[in-house]
Amino acid sequence: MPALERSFSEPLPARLYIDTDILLSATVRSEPHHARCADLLRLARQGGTVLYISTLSWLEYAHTVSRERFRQNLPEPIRRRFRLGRWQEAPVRATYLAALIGEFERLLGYYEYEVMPISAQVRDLALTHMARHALGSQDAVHLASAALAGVPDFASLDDAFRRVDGLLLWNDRVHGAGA
Amino acid sequence: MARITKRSTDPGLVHHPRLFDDTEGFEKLLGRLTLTGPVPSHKFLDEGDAIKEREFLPPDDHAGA
Repeated sequence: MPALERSFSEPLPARLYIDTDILLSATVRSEPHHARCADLLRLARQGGTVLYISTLSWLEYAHTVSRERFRQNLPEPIRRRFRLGRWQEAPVRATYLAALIGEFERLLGYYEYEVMPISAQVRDLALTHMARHALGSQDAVHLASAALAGVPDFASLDDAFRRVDGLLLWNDRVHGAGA
Repeated sequence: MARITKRSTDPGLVHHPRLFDDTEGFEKLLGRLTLTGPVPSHKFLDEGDAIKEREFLPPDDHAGA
């Protein structure tokens, strides 16, 4: 049995695990799925949904915004403001990351939320998920974090989670009905 | 930075209360960034090093992939 895919127009659960891709798409306007992910976050805020998130998301978000292709594609005023042309200098990196992670955390501050650290329990269950569901390590950490938090509803647009049996996968069915 | 006020009863979970409630500030954070190209993957593997999904799938799944 594959994952049970949910549309964002369905009533949201009281507790929802959020994968990093949802937060990235919601904060980057040019992302193809920006509108639907921003709407999901609006509905979660309006409904008082408690968000669950892994410590890993901080690192994934930082990793993404630090990547050269991300920095190069930022508008010139932002590149100038953070002096991104001098990326080889540690203070430049520190200032930029502090600003963007600060906004990431500020967005979370509009919710009641729970953070699952990357514990030995998460590690062990993630390894199981890597074997059972053929997931990559980061996806497996998110799945294990949600399971250990006792949160069955999982928001991610990542196609890989569709093969996780019985997972309540909130992906707005972006991959197509019945696919 | 969000303030940690208590450790919940769930194993290892760290609870954070809602700190902000203004819609204007919230909306500013949504779509805060606009890129001139695609957002690169948040996966730690570089695209060039990534193992193709099909290699992970059991034989039965190949047909539908």
